[in-house]
Amino acid sequence: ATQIVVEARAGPGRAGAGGAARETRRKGAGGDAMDLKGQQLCEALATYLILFSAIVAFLFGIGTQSLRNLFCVYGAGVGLTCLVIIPNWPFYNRNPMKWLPRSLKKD
Amino acid sequence: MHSTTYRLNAVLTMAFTGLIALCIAIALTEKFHQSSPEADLKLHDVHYFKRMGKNDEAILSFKLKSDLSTCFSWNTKQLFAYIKVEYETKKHKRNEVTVWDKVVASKEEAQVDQTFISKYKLVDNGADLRGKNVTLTLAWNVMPYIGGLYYQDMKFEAALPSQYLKELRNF
Repeated sequence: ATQIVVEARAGPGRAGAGGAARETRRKGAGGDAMDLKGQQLCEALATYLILFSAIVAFLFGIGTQSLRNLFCVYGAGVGLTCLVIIPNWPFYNRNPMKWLPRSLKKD
Repeated sequence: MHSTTYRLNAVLTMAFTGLIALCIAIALTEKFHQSSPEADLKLHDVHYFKRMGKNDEAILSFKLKSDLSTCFSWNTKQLFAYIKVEYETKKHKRNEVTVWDKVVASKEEAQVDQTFISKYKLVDNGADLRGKNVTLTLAWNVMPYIGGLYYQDMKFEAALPSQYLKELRNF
């Protein structure tokens, strides 16, 4: 499992516009970032979906005695996995990060 | 999994690892494949049999009735079948000469009932072929799509003429 320990504070001189932009990015609104529980879920999904695709593909290939069927099913499984784990779906963002309150003091 | 690029990289890497594992599994299935080939190979006729310098030379023809279709598994791309003539002489203990070969690309092509002339001359290193008892071996390499090539054969007996031929015989 991915364990990322993050200590975040808005640094001096970074409050205001810069801080707001980073906060938007952290919320993952329209951006790349997933929250940490979502990342964990994403990695697990990727691993098990691909493993499952490989097993199903192998059994289907042996059952129909066709290598082409095997690789087609595996390719479809990988495609499905890509669809599930690459985009930043909402269900990856159900546990948003709790950041410390921004300090507006300047040193 | 913190960015789209990272996730794309991760899924492609995992998918490729899965693909390698699948290929290893497929290659291993070939070990469990049972084949039951049938064949009958006879020496049909000798068309040319002479001594050229130090070496005997011969051109043979064969009657082959065979069914190698069970050698094809789900993972078989083709068979490479060939006929070799094996014999022993005073000069050399073990001699093997390939006189015919064929790429068998499908189960249908593996069912043969034909008489044909050999592709290559049987040339001995020496002049000891007259009246020789030889072993005609129908051998084939199984070539899988994924995995290692392997060898199977079936052996038959034949005898070469006891005298050289004075002229060529037609097939």
